[in-house]
Amino acid sequence: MWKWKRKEKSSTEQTQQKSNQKKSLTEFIQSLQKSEDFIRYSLGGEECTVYYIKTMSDSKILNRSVLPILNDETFQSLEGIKQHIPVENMTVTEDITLIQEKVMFGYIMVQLHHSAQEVLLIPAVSLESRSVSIPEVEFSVVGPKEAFVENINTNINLIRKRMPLPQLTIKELKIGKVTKSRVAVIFLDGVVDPENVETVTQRLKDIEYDQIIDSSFITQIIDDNSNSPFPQFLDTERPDRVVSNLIEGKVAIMVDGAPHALTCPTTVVELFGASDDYFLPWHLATVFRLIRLFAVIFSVLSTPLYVAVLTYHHEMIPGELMATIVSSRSDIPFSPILEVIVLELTIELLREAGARLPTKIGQTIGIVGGIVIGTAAVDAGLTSNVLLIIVALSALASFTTPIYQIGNTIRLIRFPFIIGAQMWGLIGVSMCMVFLSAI
Amino acid sequence: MNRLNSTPGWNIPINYLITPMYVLFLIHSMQIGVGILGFEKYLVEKAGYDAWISLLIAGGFMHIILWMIYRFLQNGGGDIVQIHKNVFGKYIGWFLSLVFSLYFLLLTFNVIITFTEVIKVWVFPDLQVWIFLFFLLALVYYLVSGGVRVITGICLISVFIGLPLFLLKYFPVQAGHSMNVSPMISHSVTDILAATKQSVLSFLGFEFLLIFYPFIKEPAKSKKWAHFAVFYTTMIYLISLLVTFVYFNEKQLKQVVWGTISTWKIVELPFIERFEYIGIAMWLYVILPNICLGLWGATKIPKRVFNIKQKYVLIVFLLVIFFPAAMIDGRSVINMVNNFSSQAGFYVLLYIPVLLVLKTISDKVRKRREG
Amino acid sequence: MKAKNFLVLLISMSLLSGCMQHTSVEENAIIQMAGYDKGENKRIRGTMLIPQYGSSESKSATSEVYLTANGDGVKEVEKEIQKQSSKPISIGKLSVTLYSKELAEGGISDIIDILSRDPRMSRNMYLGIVDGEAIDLIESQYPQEDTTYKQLEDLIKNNARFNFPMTNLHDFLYSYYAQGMDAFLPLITKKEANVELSGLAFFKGGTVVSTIPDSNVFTYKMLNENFKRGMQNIPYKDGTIMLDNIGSSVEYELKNGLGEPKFDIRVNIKAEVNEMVGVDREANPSLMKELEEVSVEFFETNANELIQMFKEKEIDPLGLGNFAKTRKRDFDLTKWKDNYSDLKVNVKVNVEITEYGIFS
Repeated sequence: MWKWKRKEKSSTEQTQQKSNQKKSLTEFIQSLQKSEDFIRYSLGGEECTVYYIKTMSDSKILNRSVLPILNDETFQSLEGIKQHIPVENMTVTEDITLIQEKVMFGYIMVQLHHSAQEVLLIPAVSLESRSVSIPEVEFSVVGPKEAFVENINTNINLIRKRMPLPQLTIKELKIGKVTKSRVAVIFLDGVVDPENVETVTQRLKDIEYDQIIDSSFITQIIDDNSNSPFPQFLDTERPDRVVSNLIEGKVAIMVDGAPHALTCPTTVVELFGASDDYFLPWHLATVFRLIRLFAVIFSVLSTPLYVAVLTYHHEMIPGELMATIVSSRSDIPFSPILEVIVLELTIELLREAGARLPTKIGQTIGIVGGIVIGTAAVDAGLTSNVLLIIVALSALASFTTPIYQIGNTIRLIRFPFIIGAQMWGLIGVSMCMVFLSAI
Repeated sequence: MNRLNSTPGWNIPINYLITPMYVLFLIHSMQIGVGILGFEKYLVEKAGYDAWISLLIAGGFMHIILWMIYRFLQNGGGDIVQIHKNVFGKYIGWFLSLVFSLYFLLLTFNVIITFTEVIKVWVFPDLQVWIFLFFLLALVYYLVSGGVRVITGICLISVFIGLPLFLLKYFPVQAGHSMNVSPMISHSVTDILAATKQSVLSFLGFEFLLIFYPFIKEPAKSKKWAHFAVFYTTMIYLISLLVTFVYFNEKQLKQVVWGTISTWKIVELPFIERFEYIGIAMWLYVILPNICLGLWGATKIPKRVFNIKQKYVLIVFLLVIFFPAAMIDGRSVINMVNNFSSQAGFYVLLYIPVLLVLKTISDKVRKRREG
Repeated sequence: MKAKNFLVLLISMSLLSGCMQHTSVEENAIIQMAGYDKGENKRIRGTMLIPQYGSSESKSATSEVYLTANGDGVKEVEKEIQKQSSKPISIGKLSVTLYSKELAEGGISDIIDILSRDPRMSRNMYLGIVDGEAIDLIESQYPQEDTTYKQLEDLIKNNARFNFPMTNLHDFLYSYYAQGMDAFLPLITKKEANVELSGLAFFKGGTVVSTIPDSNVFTYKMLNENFKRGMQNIPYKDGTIMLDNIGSSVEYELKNGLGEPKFDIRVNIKAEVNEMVGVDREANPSLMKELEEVSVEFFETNANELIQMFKEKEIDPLGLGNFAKTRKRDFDLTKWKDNYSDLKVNVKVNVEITEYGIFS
């Protein structure tokens, strides 16, 4: 699955960067002054000026550590200020790109003279983020109950505290022309295959896109085969899962603002493993995982098999079952394929509607839709109740996948199978299967 | 886009190489094909219920041939094209290599038409062959152009899909009569040898080693896996044969065209009966490596000889298969093709020892000339 | 790219080619049972039973449709029946096929040939010979089951666990084609409101040549195969006792080579006795000893009579020839058949009564 593919870098980005550099500090300040939340004031006469974005900077740092010192003394150089202010990691720079970036993140900029190009940048970033909460998508009954949040620092903290090792390496990149998202490539040095790290960073660097708002953007841009319906990255919100993957020698990618981490390379089998599996005794976990795998197969194959058997191979239905199936089908005016497609689409509709609505209404929609529409359809003689059971079960089975993405895949791939079944019965199903395993 | 290896020499990039263990799946899945669905009849016609001995002899014979293949491939450095070139010179070598290519094409063609026939007889008498073939070949094109790794993957899946079908043998054994196999050895040596020749044909397929050998990472290590594959195939054939022996009686078996499919008919589970439909559908998986690897081998040779893109050869060969296969109809023509390809396969097998001898001689001559 | 093109192709092609003929299950006339009699002006008269499944509300009210046609062959009958059917007929689910004794006595090898040739036939199908007309049997209703085919299928299937030997299509074809072996089928008779298995019909090739009543079926089954259930009533003095088999095993041995072959058939029966009609004695070990001797006597006489009958009719439903073939290398079928009537078969039965209930 993991192939070497570089995406070419176009020249447009480079030219744009150059024009950015030409902008001077004054121009930058002027463009910022259009916003109300950009604050600028001078201290100690006109000499020393402080700039910051109010909504992004931490006023505690400003008020307690920066302003008292700047007010009390007069400094001749920025280096002097830097030595006096009790804040870590300050920089003195002339680089307009760096300045722009930092100020936009909430750093406080201190300028000694109006015309000076050199400024001091004091980190006073105040980031709004929610606190660590329990995982909702990949909930597990036993095991840790922490999930990633939108803040990448918190997220990395969640990983590092589980693995206090110097080998745990984190490379940071800034991706996205507009969003400038922080993307971290995390791996365990010495365990990981260096080639994988190289490939990942290379591909990340080559990304050319305006906005990287979530990790899913990255998945779609850098995966090996973007036509494959299978996810090629394991997308997880559980730090413990990321840690165990890292220990196995995988690479994790995290994006600031995304409450998910991606790990790669991944295999199809892993996509069906829940974290519960690792917390349970091996026999239980094995059985549960097999059940899940069976559920997936059932979910994909049950309706196509229904179509194939009913349309072409009715010899396969045992005598006792025959009466049940035939009598449930006898009033239905549609052929099995139409019946199946209509019902499958109904289920998909319910699912989409449930996902878009607020939780409480969503549940109601699910119950109302499932029971009312289902019963009504059977009563009206539009679908057979055997099929209703099959479709409902296969929908249920598709929810057993612990990873959300693979669940979507299962939803989708059912349809080509149904068409195949209609065309050549079981052989059509088999052909679809071959095609699927090829991608 | 073209993921096929395009270098003329043997600097195959490491990502195209397959680990030695996969040779097991490649060879085994190539050997098991449509043949196993109905090979029993031909063996029993010759040697009756002693055919299992013939099968074992044939299996042993295969090990010897395999040993020979490894022998000259190890010294020859490269594939059959290279060896032909070294032994016979450029033009005769080319010609012989192309004969091999056509032979592989013939095998593929044979598999495709036989499988279509099986579908027509057992499942859909009114199958529109050309549409079905179109889809099948499109699928094959997609897989073959994916290169060796994709084909190896298909082989792997095929072996694992074949296994559950194998468990179904329980049903016929349960309904069978275990005394049938005795008395042992009631046929003459000539009968048994005739059946041996017939059963050798079941094992055809490992000649593809001649082509994909350079793609094996550490080929020397793959030797044991290749032998294991042949052994495994022998066992599967043997068990299938014995199961049909137990299930049918001799006279019946001589008349049953597709013995293995017929044994599936008795499988009856509470939710499903008549397992032959599922069996045939799943058999698509089993024959797919045959077709893919066959076509891959067939197209690889012209590519190596003339240095043209494998993709174009592939398209041409697919068309060559498509039109006759879509037009062929009726058991007799298919039987003819079957017999013809078995004959061809037999001669190819006989050719391998000859080639080994010729190669040893030519190596010695060359050494003397150099020395 | 490639995958996308392929998908487009796939979808467009599949939309273009809805051309394979297909009918959903309920649109087929699924034949579940067929019966063949001697025809009126053609050779055979076929009767097919097609269950009509009710709609979902009234699942139990299943009715049946019977179609009858005359023809010279099975396929011709099918063709004629199709002419009477509003739906395409499908013979894939055929679960019981019956032949009238009259027809079978005239030979049915061509019908048997169709059974082994048609890939759509199930090999688990049950066959039977009807003492009387098959059409009468099929066109009657039986109170035990909703449908006639179910009645007959279960009748044959479940009785194979008791006194009757297993006879599905596969077993029948096996013994039909085997060398030195002849086939047999259960004999079915229609009673007033019911249908019962009344014995076995033995084939010679494709022709029924002989029948035995159900009182002898246990003896035959005991000689033919190992089994665990079944009952046999045995006359004892003025009354009868009921022998309840709990495990019977049989063993063949061929002695003397093929020149003058001699068969030893050893049968071991383990049985319980729970009922003794007209026997006014206390159940105790000594009585059981006596009963064992009586049973042995009974089975041996019966078995010898059966084998004598087989030899007279020159049939071999026990497959003695087949057994000899697997034991002797120089087996010659024609020679075996010539000598068959002089074959010495020695039946040795051993009965062991292990229990006689919880009351002595």
